[in-house]
Amino acid sequence: MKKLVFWVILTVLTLNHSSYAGFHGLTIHSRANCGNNESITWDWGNTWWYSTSSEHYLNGKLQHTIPAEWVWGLRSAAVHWLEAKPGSGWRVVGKHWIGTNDNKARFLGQTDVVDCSIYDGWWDH
Amino acid sequence: MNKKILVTITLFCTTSIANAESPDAFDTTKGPYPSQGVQVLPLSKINLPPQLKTRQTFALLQQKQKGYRENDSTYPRSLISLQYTAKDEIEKNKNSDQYDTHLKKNIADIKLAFPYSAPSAISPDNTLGFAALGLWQNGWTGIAQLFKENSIGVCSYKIENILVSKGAIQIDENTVRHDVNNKITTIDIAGSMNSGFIYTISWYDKTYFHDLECANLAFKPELKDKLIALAKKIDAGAF
Repeated sequence: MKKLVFWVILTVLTLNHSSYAGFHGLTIHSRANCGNNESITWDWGNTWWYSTSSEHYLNGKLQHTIPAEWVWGLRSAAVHWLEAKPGSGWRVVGKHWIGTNDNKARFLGQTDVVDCSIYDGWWDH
Repeated sequence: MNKKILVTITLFCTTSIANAESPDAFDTTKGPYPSQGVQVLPLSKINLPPQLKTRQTFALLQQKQKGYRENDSTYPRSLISLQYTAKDEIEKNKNSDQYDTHLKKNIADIKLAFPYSAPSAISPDNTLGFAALGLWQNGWTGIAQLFKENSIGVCSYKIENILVSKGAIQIDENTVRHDVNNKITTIDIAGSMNSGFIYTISWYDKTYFHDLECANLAFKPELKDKLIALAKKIDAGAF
């Protein structure tokens, strides 16, 4: 029961943390060992066609990939909820694309992380 | 029982989520791939969902006929309102940490992953602020400069260093021009009489992707030439 409570609290925290990113344009990031393992593409002010994949490694081996899919909106997130508690040693590699309204396909970049420190700047705003 | 609940939740959640519906699979065999730079291709070879291509081909036709493509969006008004809200946003976030993406007063307030100074073509007096873009590589790989340009509207100049981000792009050969210092250039004008318009010029070189967007509530065909002239100045001054 204690474990379940731990994961529920962690889930609530991570849901809050992943809600923030680029306020004046596109930003991309991945987070590992944050309760979730995830890769996110996001633009607060504008809508795009997004495609985000997330590869999750443990002990140097690829465990699984959340495949990219085209979605329309303000944000796309490839998330494995509750996969990785803090300090559990995962590495997350995200790949981030957008489709634009004038027929461009753009690769925004690749994010490669082993921690979730990036959220420290985002979740509390 | 608890384990069952946990397993169920975990399986349910091992998915890609988004603020949208009906996803199409991304074709990983078609790119664009990291560090591939700029590719000018026929529309058939650009990696976009078919439904998007159909819709956009119609939109491009509309742009040729009317001078813009119809698009209702909150973005024009949101960009225009920055001239009233920027100071407050900067003040509220002046002590935030390096990952924060809100507006900042100076470039120096944003840690960048590449050396950069503001283009001289944009007056510091007209600048509303700067914001981080792209990804964090011990510094941000892109930056936006928000500013007022009296003859055009409220604008955002976005520059992304693709050597750091490994960015790449596929561009429809039917949309390619060379207005900005003979670099590959595209122009997109979108909006509606109700929501206002976004005038966008994008240009590309081996180091940077540039997007200059200007918001104006009205559609004025002459703004396109003004946008091109400003883009040329920005590009010539900065690089």
